[in-house]
Amino acid sequence: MSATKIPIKLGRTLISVFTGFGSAWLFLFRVVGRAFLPPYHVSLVMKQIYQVGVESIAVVGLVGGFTGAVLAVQGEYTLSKFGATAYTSPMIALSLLRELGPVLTALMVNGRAGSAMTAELGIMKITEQVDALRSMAIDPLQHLMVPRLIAGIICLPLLTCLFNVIGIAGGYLVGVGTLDLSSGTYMSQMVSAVGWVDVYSGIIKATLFGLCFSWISCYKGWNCGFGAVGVNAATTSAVVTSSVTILVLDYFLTSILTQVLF
Amino acid sequence: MIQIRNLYKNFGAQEVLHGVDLEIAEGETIAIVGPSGTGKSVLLKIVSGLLEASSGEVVVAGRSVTDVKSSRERQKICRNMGILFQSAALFDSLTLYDNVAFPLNYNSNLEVDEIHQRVVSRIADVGMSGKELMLPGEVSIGMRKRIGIARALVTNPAIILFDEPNTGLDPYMGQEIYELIAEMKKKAGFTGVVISHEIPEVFQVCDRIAMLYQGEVRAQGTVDEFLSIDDAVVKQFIEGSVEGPISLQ
Repeated sequence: MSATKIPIKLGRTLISVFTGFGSAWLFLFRVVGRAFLPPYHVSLVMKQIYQVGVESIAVVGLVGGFTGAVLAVQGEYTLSKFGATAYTSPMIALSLLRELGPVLTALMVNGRAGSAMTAELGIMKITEQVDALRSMAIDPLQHLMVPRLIAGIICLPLLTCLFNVIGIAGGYLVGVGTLDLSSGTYMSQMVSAVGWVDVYSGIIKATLFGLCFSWISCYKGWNCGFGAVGVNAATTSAVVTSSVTILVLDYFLTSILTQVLF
Repeated sequence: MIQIRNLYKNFGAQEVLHGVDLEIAEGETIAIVGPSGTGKSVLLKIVSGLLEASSGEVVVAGRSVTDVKSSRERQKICRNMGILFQSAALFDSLTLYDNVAFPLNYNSNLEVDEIHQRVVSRIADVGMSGKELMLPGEVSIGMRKRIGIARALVTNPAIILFDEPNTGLDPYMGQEIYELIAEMKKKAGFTGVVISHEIPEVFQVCDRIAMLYQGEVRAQGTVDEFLSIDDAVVKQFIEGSVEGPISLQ
């Protein structure tokens, strides 16, 4: 590649990135605007809550339980070096509530429901189902995107709570059952170390992660290319972009919430 | 009923429609024919408001589709039309019954019983009674097209647009769909636009034919007039000959 082509290529890439970024934000504003306009499709929101939330319970519960169990094993090992195994339960609870709960739940739900959202919307687009909605005077943004966005925002915090509860229970079972930690110590240390602020800082994160993954998944499906290749590319891009965005956003949210809440 | 005036459509540097002029009278069914890639489906999407024209005007029942700015205005025009898409475009997650009921559930003030009666009646009209609870993926493409026609008709629109109704069908099934369109036309009396490249099969459902070639209306007239047009492009298209001015581009 000649030296003159490098800045041209870089410039084109930057323009493409910023255009995509702007287009995604415009898409979000258009969808949010429509969320406040009638008609309100409550049944469609409920259907999406079922698909995003209820159908993710098993995987979120499983991952939550094993995450708590692993934290118990690792925590007990690390803290035993300082003679502080009594603090295993606060470590498990705080790690889950403030960080691992929202992040892992978001990544799991993104992988399961986010990819499904993009693929479904992409297929609807390439098989003219979106055009069919328009031809029936039904706004596809309001009909397809608004319920998915609302479902993401509602389900992620609830699934995170579930993840946290099962994670703490998993940590308890392993810690008390196999690592000989005292049941009373486990519970009392956790209760004294964990405050409500730890719980709702995680919920705030989960809510924003829910918005983030459903927004990106819908946007990628809406702008899907042609044919199976287009759907494949859109789905892959949605999962990767959402996952990276969740992790980057997590850093900034953690920094801000630590300053504001603690 | 539909007036298309000096219509242009570009996709980037590619010009698809190049000054299309066409008038379709109320109650008339026109077939728009032409080789693949000449902009027939693009024209249909502009008429239905699904695509914006680059310039020119489309007036449907006295309202300009091309000048519409708000989505509400566009919705009013859309309510007057039904479309049968190339792939039928049924919603995968809904049963055939729900697909037909869909436009009424979302866009009418009819009572539930009335919606049910109308849906059942339209499904019977297209010969699909007894299959209401099946999903689109469980039936053949021909059956999906039948349900697509029922969905297009269920709101009793004044205009119905058929985008290549026979694509993907065997000759027998294709003939059945044409007969169904002709029968529905008699029953419902709509203004129809049928996009096709099937000569002479499409003649049985249309009052008039317009041929689109290289983004322009090359010829138009009744079936007899169209068949007697002395134009090498039209003749080659009608005869389906490989030799002639129409070539792969």
